[in-house]
Amino acid sequence: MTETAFYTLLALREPAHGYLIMQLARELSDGAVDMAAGTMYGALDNLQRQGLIHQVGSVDGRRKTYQITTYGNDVLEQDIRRLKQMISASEIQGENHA
Amino acid sequence: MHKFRLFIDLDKEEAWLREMSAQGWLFRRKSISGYWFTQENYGEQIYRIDYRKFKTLSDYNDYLSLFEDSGWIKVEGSKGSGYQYFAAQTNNAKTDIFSSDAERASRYRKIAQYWIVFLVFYVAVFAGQLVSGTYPFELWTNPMSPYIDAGILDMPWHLTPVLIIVMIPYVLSLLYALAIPIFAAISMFYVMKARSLRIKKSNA
Repeated sequence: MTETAFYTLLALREPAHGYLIMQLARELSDGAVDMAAGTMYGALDNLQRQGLIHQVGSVDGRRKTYQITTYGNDVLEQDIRRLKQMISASEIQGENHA
Repeated sequence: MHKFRLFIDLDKEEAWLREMSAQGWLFRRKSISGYWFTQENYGEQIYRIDYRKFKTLSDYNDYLSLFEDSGWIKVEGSKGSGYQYFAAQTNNAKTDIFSSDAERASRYRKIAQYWIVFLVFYVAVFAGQLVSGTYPFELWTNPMSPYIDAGILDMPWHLTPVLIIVMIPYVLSLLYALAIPIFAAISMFYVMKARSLRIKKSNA
């Protein structure tokens, strides 16, 4: 999973609309994921197509609100486990080089 | 002020609109006949072009809201136009609507797909005509030949509209053959553009 997708899914554990997701992703990633408008829209379109997020409503009739789906959360959890494993392995193996 | 230009390369089109704004001409509208500008001295504006079509108006409005929130105002475009023209607002920190070359590549890929569909259509019709022997090759050497053979020159003048209607399938037959190399060249251009952007990324 790309960093962009990871932080988008993470941000969407709570319902949010496009621009808010962009800001959340930037904050959560400490600036690493700084999406431009076209990139954000493409990511949302893509994740929706894969069934990882869905539209849950609209705050003002214009901006759509999205949220992570159950399936999306499973995929996210899987990736988090994978990352945790990578970190714990790096803390054990070759400690002398740390 | 009106200017007619045809662009295949979106990067060049964006650069041209930016250059026009630096000279004091603000991009207002675009139609088949070209670009419309008004004289304003707001200084150089940054324009970006996206290529995206939408199924519903609510999808389109959601898209426009996202861009607006991010500091991009739509100058030209519609739900089904494909091409969406945006201008950066003054407080916009970003100068592009894409974060990476891979995404810039994807809009060229989508445009290429659109041209390839037309190309395939024309190739199919042309092939069909060749196979059934109905392609009028004599049109290439003498465009008026089918009409002269049919005795058009002897036709009463008030039946000229009928003549024009009868001419259409012959003219279209000629156009299919011309359309094929043109559409193929345009499709190739967009495919190569998309590919070069992706290669640039993997070399980084």
